[in-house]
This record gives sequence, C-alpha cells and structure tokens, in this order.
Amino acid sequence: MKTGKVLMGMIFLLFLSACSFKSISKPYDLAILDDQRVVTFLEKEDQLEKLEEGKALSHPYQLWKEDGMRIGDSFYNRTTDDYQIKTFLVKLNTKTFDSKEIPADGNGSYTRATDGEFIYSTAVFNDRTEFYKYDKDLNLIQKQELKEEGKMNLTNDLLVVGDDLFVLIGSIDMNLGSNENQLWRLSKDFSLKEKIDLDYTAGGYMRMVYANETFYITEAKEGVAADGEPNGGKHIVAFNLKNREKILIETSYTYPQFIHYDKKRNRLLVLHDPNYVPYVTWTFIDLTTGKQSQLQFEEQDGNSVFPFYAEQDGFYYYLFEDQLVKYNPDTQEKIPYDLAKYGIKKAHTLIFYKKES
Amino acid sequence: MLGIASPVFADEKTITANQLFTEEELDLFEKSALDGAYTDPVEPDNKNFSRAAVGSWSWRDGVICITDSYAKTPLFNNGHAGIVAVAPYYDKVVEANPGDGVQAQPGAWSHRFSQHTVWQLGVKRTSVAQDQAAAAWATRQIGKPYNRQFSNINRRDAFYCSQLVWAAYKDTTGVDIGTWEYGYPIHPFELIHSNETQIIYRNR
Repeated sequence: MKTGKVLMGMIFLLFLSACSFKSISKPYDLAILDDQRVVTFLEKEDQLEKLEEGKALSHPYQLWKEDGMRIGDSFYNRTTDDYQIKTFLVKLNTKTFDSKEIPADGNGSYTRATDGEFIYSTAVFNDRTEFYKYDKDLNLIQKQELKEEGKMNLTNDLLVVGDDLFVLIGSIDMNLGSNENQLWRLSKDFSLKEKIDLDYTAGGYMRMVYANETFYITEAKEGVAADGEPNGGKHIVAFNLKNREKILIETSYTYPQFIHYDKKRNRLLVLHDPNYVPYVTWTFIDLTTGKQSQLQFEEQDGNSVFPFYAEQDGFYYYLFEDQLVKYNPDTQEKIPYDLAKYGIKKAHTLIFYKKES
Repeated sequence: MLGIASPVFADEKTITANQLFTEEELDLFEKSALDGAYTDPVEPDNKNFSRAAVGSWSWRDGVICITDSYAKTPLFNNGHAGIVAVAPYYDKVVEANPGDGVQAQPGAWSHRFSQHTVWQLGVKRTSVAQDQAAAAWATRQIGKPYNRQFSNINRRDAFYCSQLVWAAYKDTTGVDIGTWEYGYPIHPFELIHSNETQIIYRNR
C-alpha cells in the first residue's frame, strides 16, 4: 500500500516536471520573449520554424522595449513593473535562457548603457540623481549621487562613448518650473567632467545616438498645445562633440521620439511617438545624402505600444505583440511573420543567437 | 459602502486583507470595485485633438492614470494611481509609492504595466488650464513621503497614490473626484467610477 502511494507520488512529480518549461538547449536563429516564456525559431527562406519553448523570466513582468544590451552570450535589460511597482535588472543567458533577476537600485532604472564590461544605470529623485555601475553578473560595483540645489535632473538617455559616459539631461528648476536640455560628460567612475548646455528650453530632448563624432538627439516635445497635450518637436539635433556645432535636421513628421543608427548605411532610424503620429511611423535619414524616407505600419494603426526594434544581418526587425516584421531596407520589402499561430500574443523582446557583429 | 474601508488599506506589515476577509469576500469586492471598468466604453477626450487616435495613451498634463496592478500584495488588488506630470516633466507620471514617496516615473503605463489593465481618466468639468494646475500641484509634491494612514486624506505632508491624485484636483479646482464608496480613504478604482471622470484610454 505504502509502495503504491510512493509510486503514485513519483508519477505525479514526473507529470509535473513534464508540464513545466524546460531550458532551451538547441541553437536557434531568433528567440522571442512572450510575457515570461521564450520561443525559439529557425528562420528559413523567410519562414519561421518553431524549435523550442521555455521559461525566461521568473516573475510576471516583461522586459523594457528599449536599451536591451548584449555582452557576449548575455542579454541585459530592465523589466516593466511587477505587482509591487518594482523594477528589476535582468541578465539572460542567450543559449539557455537561464536568468538572473535583481531589484533595480534606486526607484527604478531610468536609462541604461554598457561598455561591454560594465552595465551603467540611473535613477532620479527630487534632490539627487543616482548612478550605478554593475559587473556582468549584475553585482553592484559602484553607486554615486550627484546633487544640484533646487534642480531635478531627469536622465532621459545614457550612452558610452570612448572612455566617457554621456547623459542626456532634462534639468528642471523646481522653483521656476523651467527646463534646460543638457549633455553631461562623466567618467566611468561617475566624476562629472563637463555639462554642455544644448541651448534649448522650449521642449524636451529625449533620446540620442552617437555617430561620426556627433550626437543625434530627438527633439521629441516642444511646448504645450491649446488642448494640453505636449506639442511635437520636428527636428533631430546634430551636436558635434568636437567643434560643438549644433545643426537642426527637420523631419517631415513631428514627435521624433526614439532613435537608432544603422552603421552600415550611415543612416538614422527615427520612430515618431506612436501616441501622436499614426501608423507607427519611422523616418530614415541618410546622413551621407541627407535624403529622408518613411516606413509605416498601417496594419498597426490604433496600437499605441511601440515595437521592439533590432537590426541583424542588414535587415531591420520590428517586433509587435503578435507579429514580427522583417524589413529589407535596400528593397523596401516587408516580410511579416504571424506569431499568433504560435500562441504568441504578448511579444516584447527579440534576441538573436548570433551576436550582431 | 462595501464595509471594508480602512482595515484593507492598513499597512500590510501590521495587518493584511486576508486576515480580515475570506478569499470569496475579497473576490466579490474586487469584482464590485472593477464592475464595468473593463467594458465601459472609452470616450473621446473632449479637450483633446492632438492624439494619434481616440483612445490612445495621452501625455496631456493632469490626465489621471490607473492600473489594476496589485501594488502591494498579490492577495488583494489595491490598484495604483498617478497623474501625468506638468510640462516640462516630459513623459513622466507623478505617483506616490510605498518605497519612494512621491516621485516622477518615466514611461507610459501602457508599457510600464503591460501585464495589467491600464486606464486613463479625464475630469469632465475642468478646463485644460485647471488640469494643468492640478498636474503642477501634484508635481510640486515630489519628494514628500508615503502616507500609510490611508484614512487621513487631508494631510498634505505625505501622500498615497490615489490620495495624491484626488487632492491635486480637490485643492486646485475644487472638484471632488472621490465617490466615498469605500468610506473615507480614496481607492484608485473609485476614480474610474466617479461621476466627475470619464475613461479616455484603456490598454485592453
């Protein structure tokens, strides 16, 4: 009788383990995180072939759709908020999808960057800005506070350029309510080396990339409209770090919000805020010729959640909640992959097995 | 009205909802609290003409943000509330959190709380300028500590999430967006049911 119960228990445990997610074991082409699970695929002649499914995150949150970082076989990012309004920093092994998840220091990670050795993160409080440096295993190496009396310094973006960190700051005078857009240059141990005034107070600079000794910055917001909504800016600001010249590149659409750089084509990719510009509109700016073109996703109209973006082997990939679109920027061909047929409805992150060179 | 007002809101370190109520009672409360919130139509924001589409996320100063994120405990749905910060705090929501007090947090809640339902509410009777005044008032509270005395909504030296949103409108415009259906504390979900508000965005 007792033996029978033990056997029943063993069978139950076996059943449970069979139901639980396994680790990913096979090499893949691309992996999609759908809520907490990961689904891996091979990509063959513009078709996806499902390989494996496993668990990637241990708690009910997703990864942030910006600032995903790759160091070797590891992928890093912050999470969205969990049920306790807390955010975590996550390290994912891109071969197995084993994860390490630690509470983000400060009141959440405003922005993140890596130099390939360390992860840098920021948090903003009313009386100070905090900077954190983590090693590749997400151990906190250094924390530094920077204070400025009467100012709240919002860290809108962070980049590593050479031996320095550059922080795009919206510096708000808390008494006057006025705003200055600045670029802070810090050493990698957070010594403030320089504050560069970007000479713009009418709106907000929100994101930036660095190319050709120049920061390209999105003029996302400019003042307030009569209906109370923020007005859209309509420029990409090109700030040359060497000669300190600032040039404005006008965009056809307003609200330039997110920005990426395609090194191979020397091209900027600008996403206009989907909350204000329909069809998830991207502007491509060729920095060699100055020519602009647009890419739109009319089928995503009404979906104000912006897509996760990644570049691989010269193709642009746009990950929506239940669809992945592979885009050939040379032929303008869009290849949509329906993810819903694999049960994917909440896709948030795309990871390639092979690291982009 | 539901008879579970202040004890439920008490500090979880001293008492929890599940010590006071059965799971069935909590389930019933949650269903009542969110009755219609998932299905009521999203209305056009009568102050707005800039957004990409009716029903998309808004960064208009003073718009109220609500989520059914459980906020403090997985056992009871406290919800969470915030208010879109006044320009030039671009793309920020002012909110009071137990860990940090009143802070400005980045990112649209449609992304930050993508696991949960998120609502945005407009206040029907106020003007754009009044909404901006409410947002500016809330933004000036940044740095104040978290208020764990959930029944004490009249203090202004500390705030909890929905108290901050309620007080921003009460103190600057005189409009009371509370419903009093939970007794004296202000619950995030009651702001959805208030006759003074309308749902202008829901993420699902």
